[in-house]
Amino acid sequence: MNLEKVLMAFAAALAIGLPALATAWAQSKIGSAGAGTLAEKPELSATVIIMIAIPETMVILGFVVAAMILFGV
Amino acid sequence: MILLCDIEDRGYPTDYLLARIHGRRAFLLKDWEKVLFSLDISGYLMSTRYSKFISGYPADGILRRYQEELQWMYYQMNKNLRHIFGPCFMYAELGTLLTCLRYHLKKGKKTEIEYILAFSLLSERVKNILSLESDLPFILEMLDKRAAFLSDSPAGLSDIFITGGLPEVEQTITRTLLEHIMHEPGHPCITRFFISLIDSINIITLYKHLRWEMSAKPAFITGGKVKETVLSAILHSRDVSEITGLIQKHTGFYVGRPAAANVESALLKGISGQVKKMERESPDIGLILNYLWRFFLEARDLSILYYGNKIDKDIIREELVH
Amino acid sequence: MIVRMSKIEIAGPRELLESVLSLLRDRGILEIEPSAIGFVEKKDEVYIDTFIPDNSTFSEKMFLEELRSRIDELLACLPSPRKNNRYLEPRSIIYTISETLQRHLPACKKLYRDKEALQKELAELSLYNFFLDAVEPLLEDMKKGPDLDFIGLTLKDPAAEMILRKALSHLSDDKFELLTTIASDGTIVGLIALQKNTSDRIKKALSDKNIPELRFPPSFGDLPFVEKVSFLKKRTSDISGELDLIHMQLDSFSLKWGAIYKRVREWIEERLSLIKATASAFVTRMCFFIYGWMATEDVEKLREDLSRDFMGSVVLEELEIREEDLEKMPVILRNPAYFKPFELFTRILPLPRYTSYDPTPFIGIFFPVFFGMILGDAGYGFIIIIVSLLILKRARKNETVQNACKILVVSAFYAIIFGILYGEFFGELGQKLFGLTPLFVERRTAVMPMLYFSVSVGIVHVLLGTFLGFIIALKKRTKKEALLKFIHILFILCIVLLVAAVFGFFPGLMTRPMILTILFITPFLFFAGGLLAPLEVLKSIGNIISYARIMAIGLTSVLLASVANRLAGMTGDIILGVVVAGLLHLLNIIIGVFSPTIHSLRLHYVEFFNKFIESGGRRFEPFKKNSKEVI
Repeated sequence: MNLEKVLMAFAAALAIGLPALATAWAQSKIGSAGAGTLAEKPELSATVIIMIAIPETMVILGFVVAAMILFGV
Repeated sequence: MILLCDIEDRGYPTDYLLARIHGRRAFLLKDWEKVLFSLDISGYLMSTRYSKFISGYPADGILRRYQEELQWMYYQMNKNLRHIFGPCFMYAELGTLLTCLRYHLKKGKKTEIEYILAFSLLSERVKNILSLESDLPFILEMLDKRAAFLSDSPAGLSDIFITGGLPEVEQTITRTLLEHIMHEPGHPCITRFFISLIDSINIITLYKHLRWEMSAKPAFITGGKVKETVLSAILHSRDVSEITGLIQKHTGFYVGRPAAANVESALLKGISGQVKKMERESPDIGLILNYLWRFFLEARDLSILYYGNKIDKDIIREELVH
Repeated sequence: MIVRMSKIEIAGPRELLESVLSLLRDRGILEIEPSAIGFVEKKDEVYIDTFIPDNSTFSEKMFLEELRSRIDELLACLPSPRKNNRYLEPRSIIYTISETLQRHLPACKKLYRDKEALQKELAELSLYNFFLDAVEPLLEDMKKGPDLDFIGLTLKDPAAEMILRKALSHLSDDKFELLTTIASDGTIVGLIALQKNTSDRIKKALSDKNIPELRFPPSFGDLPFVEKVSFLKKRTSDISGELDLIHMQLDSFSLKWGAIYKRVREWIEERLSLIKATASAFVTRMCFFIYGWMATEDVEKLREDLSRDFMGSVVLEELEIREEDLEKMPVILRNPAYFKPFELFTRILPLPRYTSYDPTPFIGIFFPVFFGMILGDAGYGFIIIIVSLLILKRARKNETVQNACKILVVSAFYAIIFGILYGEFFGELGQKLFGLTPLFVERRTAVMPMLYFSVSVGIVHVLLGTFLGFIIALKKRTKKEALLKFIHILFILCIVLLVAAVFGFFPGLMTRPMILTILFITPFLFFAGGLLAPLEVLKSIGNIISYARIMAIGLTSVLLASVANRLAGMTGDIILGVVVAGLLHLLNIIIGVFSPTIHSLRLHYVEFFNKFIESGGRRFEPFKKNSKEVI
């Protein structure tokens, strides 16, 4: 395997790994706040689920970039 | 923190508690005019979160709801938060402790003391001393041994009780606790809160001394922003109106003619302003502190309404803070 | 859809007010408006007053409220009655009931208090049970004599026992016996037997050493230790007997009277709600007026009912709806059968305003398509349809589950269609097994085309949302807002064309005119939307890019399916391969139900609806039976 390929793989890993960490951090915050909200107002459960999904945009964009790197676009 | 009960850390994240407090804040009473002028306060409270508590004797119900909410907060906090807010809970439970001592002095019923202690956050040992024993000097002696902060005070509580009576003991306990809190390192918000609190207590002490022309030297609490020299200077001038300036400088509220009611409410409003400011500056600790404070004020105001339901509403309105 | 509403005035002779309200409550289709603002002309306001109940109504209200609280007290003491006495008409016997209650309430309260006291005592005694159960065999081991005294105690750990033994032998000159055993809750329970003359000394020593001697409740009196044990046994069984008796009495009372009181309470509720509703009516000297809102389609029916029941003396009139009324019109959402299940999703959102759109049909149309686009696998689609249909058959009672399954069936149908377009059947299994070829694009390899496709879907969706916002603004006659929305659409179109031209999808010649157009419309954008208007456009662009998730989540699903198939191939064993692939596909299906749902919902809530749906509507709350909130 040549160095260029290794570097590309590493770049792709970074592209998805870092946003994944960011998403995880954001979701942990939203998740615990969401649990608190649910304890007070159970009727908001669906809203909370959507809220938790919102930071996933980051990791999805990271995934898109990683795919672009790997598939050589 | 030997005064408070020690419970295991349940590890709830801070954000969880903050979200819950955000939710619960909606249940704080807002329409005070409506409460004030409703013919039947209990009837009005039935439509709020107090409904569960006021079926029996409403004033007890208000205290119970306050205690339950405090306990709830304490149990929802993680170890770190509990450490930060320890002084606040200690100060809140000081009220419980002093109430119990007063009951003992009156030779009140054991069940009443147990009722007060049922939802208290005091440690089991302190609770046991308060509920099982009945001899006040003995209780004070035991408290001396149990509560670490009291070791700062030079004389034993039971000696103070014999020479100065219960009021003197109450003052000593309050003073040593507050000075102890100021002595320990704490979160900046909490420290600022206690500075305001100590200032307020000192100003009220000063006002009472001037108003009732007491001759004994008042015991001011050290650690506040208003220096003892300033307080002593006003005390020596024997001029009640000087207090107006002090309050305005300290809280921003102008008290035209100082009277017990408006001095206290102006000082409390001053603390409310401080706490609100802290919430803007520190959205987590400030938020919790603000909620605790507002909850305390709500309980205080409601008790005033209940005990003063025969007094003219305009006078009562002046006493309310919320 | 948001149901068309009418503004209603009902008028009639004053004495018919209560009967009219009673009819309205039975129909339950009118929301009564407690304020007359907007209903009465300014010049007429002086003639009209709020209805104030007369003295007899007022005293009836007081009487009923008091009776209700007493019935509540009674019902709180009783076990809940099983059946409901629907046939009783309490109006004629209400005073008799009140008198009977005066006798029943103290009796039941006493029974209830006794019950509570006994239960409390039983609970207290049970605290000693563990000790005495443990100590009883010990007692039998020791020889009982009149000159012996017994001390019961609990010990914290075995080490304490050693210390105690030493201390005892010292104090009593070895004339003692200490037996220990472990009680059911794990504590060590001890029993000391010693001669009476030494016992007092030892008791004092124990209390000095902080070893808790077992104290008994005061009701035990000064009985000797041995008798205390038997007393406890006897008392416990006595209490159980008494409790059974009280339970029986309460049960039989509840059986006889509970249902009657419950029915009376219901009747009082209804009566009080009627009295309360009269406060929302308005009167002149001779007539009453009731104002309110109702669905236009029900108006004719109610008009007929009123004129038939009251011989034409009560009339219903539809008032003209003015611009300022639109703000306070209550909202009812009603959708055709296909869209109905999707209300599950709209219920999460705040209610739209009367002038806005019901989001349900939009979710009904686009949600399944997005779901299909993301999941896009014919095999998964089939499985989801089958499972949903099975659950649908099973869970007939739970409406939420039913609706969710119906939505899943429709969405999975689209997943099959897109699966055929993408050529996917359990990943690439379809290709290998029966030569399924992609009709549109192969997602696994064609990552970039899929990305363009997703973003194109986003462009259409976001533009549609903005266009709907434009129409609403036109309807509300807010010209500036309409202009803003229109320029917004133009702006997005220009930017999209520009980007397309730069990437080479359109001839490069397009670039210049597009830039010029953008420059030309920018001042209008500032004029219509102020300084922050460009930010709004940027937000829309961000929204469009967010649709890339259709491709991204779809890709994870395909890749996971493909991994499942490849792993199965690597096992080299048919059965093991099928199991491995099956499990991984199952996992993928489960993810494939949740993930596309959440993300297509998010695309609707965050990206689509904020372009045109105005929330803040007020739910229609008709005056009807058993409605707690009357006004």
